[in-house]
Amino acid sequence: MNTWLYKQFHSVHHRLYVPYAFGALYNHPLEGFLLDTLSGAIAEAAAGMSTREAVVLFSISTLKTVDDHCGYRLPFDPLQFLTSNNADYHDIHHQVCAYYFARSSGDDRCLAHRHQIKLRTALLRALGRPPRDTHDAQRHGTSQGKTEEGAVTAPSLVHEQIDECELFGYAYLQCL
Amino acid sequence: MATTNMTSAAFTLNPSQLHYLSTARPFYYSPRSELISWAPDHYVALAAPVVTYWVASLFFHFLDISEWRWLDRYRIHESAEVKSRNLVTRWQVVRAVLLQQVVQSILGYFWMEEAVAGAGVDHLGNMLRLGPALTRVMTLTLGSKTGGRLLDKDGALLLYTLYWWGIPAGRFMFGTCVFSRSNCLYKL
Repeated sequence: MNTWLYKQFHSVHHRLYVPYAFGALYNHPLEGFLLDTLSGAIAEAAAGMSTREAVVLFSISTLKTVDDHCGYRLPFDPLQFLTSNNADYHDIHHQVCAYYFARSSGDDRCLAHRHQIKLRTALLRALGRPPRDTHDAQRHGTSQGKTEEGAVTAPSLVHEQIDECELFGYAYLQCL
Repeated sequence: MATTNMTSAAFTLNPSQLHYLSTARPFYYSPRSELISWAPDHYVALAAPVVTYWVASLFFHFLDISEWRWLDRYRIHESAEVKSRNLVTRWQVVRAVLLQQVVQSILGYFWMEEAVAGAGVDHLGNMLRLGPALTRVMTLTLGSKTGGRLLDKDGALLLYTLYWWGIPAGRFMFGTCVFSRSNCLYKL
């Protein structure tokens, strides 16, 4: 992934650490124009679609992106099962990518470090590996205790965790 | 494989088959020249993503504020601490999305062309024009004897299915492919 492009443009979308439905299209204007609008127009033209077919394409792709950022894992939602970049994925993806490029201010990294631990647990759980923390503590986001490997200087430990995520974390791999 | 000249053979259909192709229409079809009587189709195409976006978003927003207990197990949301880490406010997001949708609609206004749809299109002619290609494929895959037999028996049905379902589905999948690749050029 191109780091410069991310910092200039896509990081705007990742200002939403926790995505919600109507944040799906929150983008840098240029990114929104080029990657959403223009690519929609090109897709419709390249496939030789009629206007009515274009209505279907635009509606379904919009619906999907809103659904991917909705923050719900609804069992009766077919779009959640259609592709792998569903709401679960985006929830983790937004945190991983946003963290990695967070500004390196002291407070920011400290908070992010604590959060990174929870994130790693969530990633492992999502991949079917039982986390060392209890499930409930993770789910309810309690931040007291349960810091693994001791709390050390944020940069090095965080990198170690990121490396581990890289081994297992598909979301993180997608990010980089 | 017999070298019968199937490619230029006229795709003949008997009257009842022709009648079938002229009249049978899939459930999604509307013969009206405009889907919505007061809105031309190419404007509907511009409005569709915007309307879809807000209807869907409001639905989930409604779920967010509903406080229904049965929803709790389906929420992926993080704790309030993390939610507070969002670097922009909801209103900033709404404004930015609206801006993007306005720009998109303006581009679409110049990009989308008005085109005939519904009963004004010669669907029968289009289907018949697919005939030779269908014949070629059938003879290539099944041989001229079986292929020919199937075409005689079910040619009209094959044409119908190809025209109203096969090709549109193919176009939709291709369009989705193009869109998703160009949509994530550098994100992945």
